Amino acid sequence: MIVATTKPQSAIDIEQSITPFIMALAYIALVFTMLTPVLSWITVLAVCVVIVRGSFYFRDQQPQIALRTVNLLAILAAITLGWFSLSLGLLLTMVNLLVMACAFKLLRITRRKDLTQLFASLLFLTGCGFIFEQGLLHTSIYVSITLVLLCSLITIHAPHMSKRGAIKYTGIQLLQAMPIAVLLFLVLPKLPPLWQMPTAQGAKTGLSDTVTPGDIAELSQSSELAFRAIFSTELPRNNQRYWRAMTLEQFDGKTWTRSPTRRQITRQYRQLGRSFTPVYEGEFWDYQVIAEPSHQTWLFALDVASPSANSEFGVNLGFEYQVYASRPVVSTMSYTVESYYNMSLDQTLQTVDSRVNLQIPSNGNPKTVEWVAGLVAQTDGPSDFIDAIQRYFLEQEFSYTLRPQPMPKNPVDEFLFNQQAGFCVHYASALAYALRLANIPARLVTGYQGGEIQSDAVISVYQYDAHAWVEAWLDDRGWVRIDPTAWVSPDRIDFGLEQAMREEGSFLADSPLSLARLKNIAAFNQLRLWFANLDYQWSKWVLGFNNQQQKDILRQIFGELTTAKLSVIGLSLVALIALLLGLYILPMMRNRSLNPLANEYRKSVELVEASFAIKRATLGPEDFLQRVADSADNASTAVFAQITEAYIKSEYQPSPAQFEGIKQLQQLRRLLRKTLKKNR
Amino acid sequence: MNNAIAPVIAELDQTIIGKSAQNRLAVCCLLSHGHLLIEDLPGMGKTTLSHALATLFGLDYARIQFTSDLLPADMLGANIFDVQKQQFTFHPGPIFSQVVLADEINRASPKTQSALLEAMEEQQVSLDGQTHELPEPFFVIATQNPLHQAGTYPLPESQLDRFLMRITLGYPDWQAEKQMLQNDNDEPLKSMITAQQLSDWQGQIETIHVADAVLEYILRLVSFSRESGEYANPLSPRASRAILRASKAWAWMENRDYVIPEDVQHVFAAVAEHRLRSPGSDSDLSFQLSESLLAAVDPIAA
Repeated sequence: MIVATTKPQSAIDIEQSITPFIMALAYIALVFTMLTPVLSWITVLAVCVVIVRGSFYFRDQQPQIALRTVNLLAILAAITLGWFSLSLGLLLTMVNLLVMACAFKLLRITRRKDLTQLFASLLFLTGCGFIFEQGLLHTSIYVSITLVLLCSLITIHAPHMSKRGAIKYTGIQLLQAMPIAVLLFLVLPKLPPLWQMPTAQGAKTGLSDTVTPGDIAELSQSSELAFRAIFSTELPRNNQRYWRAMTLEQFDGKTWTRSPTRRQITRQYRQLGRSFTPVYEGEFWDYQVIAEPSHQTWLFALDVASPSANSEFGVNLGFEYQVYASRPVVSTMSYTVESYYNMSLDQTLQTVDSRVNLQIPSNGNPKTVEWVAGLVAQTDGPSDFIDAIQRYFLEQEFSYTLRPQPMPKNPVDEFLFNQQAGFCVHYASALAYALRLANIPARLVTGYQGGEIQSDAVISVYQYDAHAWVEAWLDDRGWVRIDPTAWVSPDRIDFGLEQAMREEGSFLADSPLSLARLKNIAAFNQLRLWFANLDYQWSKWVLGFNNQQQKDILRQIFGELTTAKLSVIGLSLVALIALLLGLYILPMMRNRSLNPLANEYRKSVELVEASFAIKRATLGPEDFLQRVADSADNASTAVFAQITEAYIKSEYQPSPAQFEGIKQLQQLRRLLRKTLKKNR
Repeated sequence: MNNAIAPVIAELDQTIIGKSAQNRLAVCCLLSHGHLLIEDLPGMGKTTLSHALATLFGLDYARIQFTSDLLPADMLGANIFDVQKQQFTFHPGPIFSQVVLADEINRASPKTQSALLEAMEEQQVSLDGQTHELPEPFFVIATQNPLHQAGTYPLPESQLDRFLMRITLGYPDWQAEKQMLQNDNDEPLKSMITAQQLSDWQGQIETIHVADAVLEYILRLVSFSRESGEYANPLSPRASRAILRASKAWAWMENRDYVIPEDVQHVFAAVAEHRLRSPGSDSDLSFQLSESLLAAVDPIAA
């Protein structure tokens, strides 16, 4: 039990006490975890405010900041934010507003009330943090921040407590709250999200829906997780793991994009209510994919995918064999796929696919056009043509590099005849273009290739596994995957990017601190795998805990479930928790007085107050008796006079016999109750 | 009402008509060894009240009219060279009286004000290395014009604190003023009790029982003033002692040998208001800080 202090605290005391400083530190930590959603000028504001707070704490006799100044600044900042809000959207504006408001609150803290308000706002802000990040790392950061905030609350109410004591006390309380939180997490129904995140974050890493090989001087690499796949059948080999994300069918000589014709066709099909339903046959891999938020609709699957519906999202198969979600993936999402790996991709309309995929830009890359024309004349049929190109790539000593030269003009010519070095996109783009020139329908597929085997059944795919390859329509076989990168750099496909880049040393050169770079050191690799595994377990069991899993768990415990049974379980558990907490807290609330005598008197007062609709407020006992006499009947007044007399006698007169006083008051209260009833 | 003090108060009520509450507070202040500050406009009966108090209690009385050029020596007295005895002899000033009326105290310069306040606190006057005891009982009634009037030096908080109570008289109501005009007799007041009796009563007041519940009530009041942050000048420990002393005297006047919360409530405004209010602030007397404090703290143990 903490005994609240009675130490007087003036405004200056509160300004310079440690509490606002601790809160400021927690605040800045919070802001730094939310650098992406928070506007940069608000971040700067937050840093400045924390510095001001620090100067209040470390240097005495600072003049207070006038309320008027703070208000003026706040109004100006709010107007600025209002201007930015047009492009930010509602949710981000509100988060930014909250961060800003906390900053201004921190500038001037003169009363305890300010501190408690700030505490509540910061707690809310911590909750907002989970909108953007739910990973294990961020969760532990947010839990620590909450711990710090609670400790700061202790420093307000019990400044005499040592810091270690405060941390221990809050820690124990948090641990006590844990079982309740776990129970509620398991039992309470999982509601669907109340709002949709209106933000797009596609610019950050990973794939994008346009590919311009010539403009990329250096492929940005990131060791962030893209998705995980958990297999219930055997694992595919590394060179089978081509995770399709997007199929790009429009080429303008430089850039590959999704084909507008294809979009139009898809839209027409959707209006007709027709979806692509190939006939599946043969062996398949069965696996669950847990995708990290990409803020895009595309998903990842091996060919030929047969996605099954997810309870929250619709997961569909497009006519380009790509899997996509009905809404952007804004939080970790899981879906199940069966991939029939022996099937041919020949179930779409050839006429449509050929029309879309024979499109070529009207000019540019003249050397390539000439070269392909020559090659077509020399060769016999599509397969022969492809072999001829493969021979060309191998004979000309093309090399695989992550640091190609930029090729802004006629990129295919430049790549094929001058540079002869590039990464997957260069090869895929050049090949697809060449195939189209030779009147073979071809398209660019982007996605991920490979992935790291986490444990027996789990493959983790990271952003640096991003890859691009080519599909060509061969009349007898349908769409056939051709990966020119594999011709040039077989290591890339068989062992992954890291092996392929060993000599160049450019693997994850952008992120020197990434643990993935230290794979060669056994201990680090172990650590990295262990952490990845932990993160996987977290996203599987905590973030991915949805209605279905909840039902499964409850079914294991309680047997077959009906809606009624579910709600009874939920309600009774909540009631049980409330009851236990009530049993713990109520005695403390009831025992509001350390003085049993005053308590007895108070009970009688409450009786009288209820009967005659009067309030004692802060009247003393004699004055209140006068008050009662004014409004009550004589009999009740007489009894209450006795009560008042007995109370005054025991409480205020010399050498009172307290115990007897309580007895007497109890008897008189019974009498009072009777009298009141009789006179009702 | 205590039988001993009742006639005195009745007589006082005859002199200052219609100001029963203030009369009682003034007597209470005298009984609890405190000094009294009366703040009001000129002509409201400040001087009459203090004169009547002195006369009724049989105390000798001096009046010092404070002006801006009044010097400490004018009030305390001075050592004057006696030509016949060839030595300095002390000529006591008007302050050597049992009841001193310091009229319009805020018109004097701060130097003179502090000389008076020092004498009030120490019950003695030090002059040229010699200490002169002031008479017993020693009771200062200071009157003060409202601060907005011209030519005033407001008493600082630290000096206001020395006065046990501050009361304001205010205009009398219609009936009271009519009655005052009707019996406009100049019949002088007669002394009703002796200094010895006063001293006895003060001794009785010392023995009044104060229960823990009352002490805690006073503590809750003062600590609320410190912690709520609504009061510019929270109550000091000296203030809590003053509240206790005045409450005991009030209980004695009510003919009780123990203090109840109502006693505290009766004296609280007079004892605490001038300590809570900062003198620089606008003296809007319609809003009583002490009342808001009383309304916020429950006298029954929390």
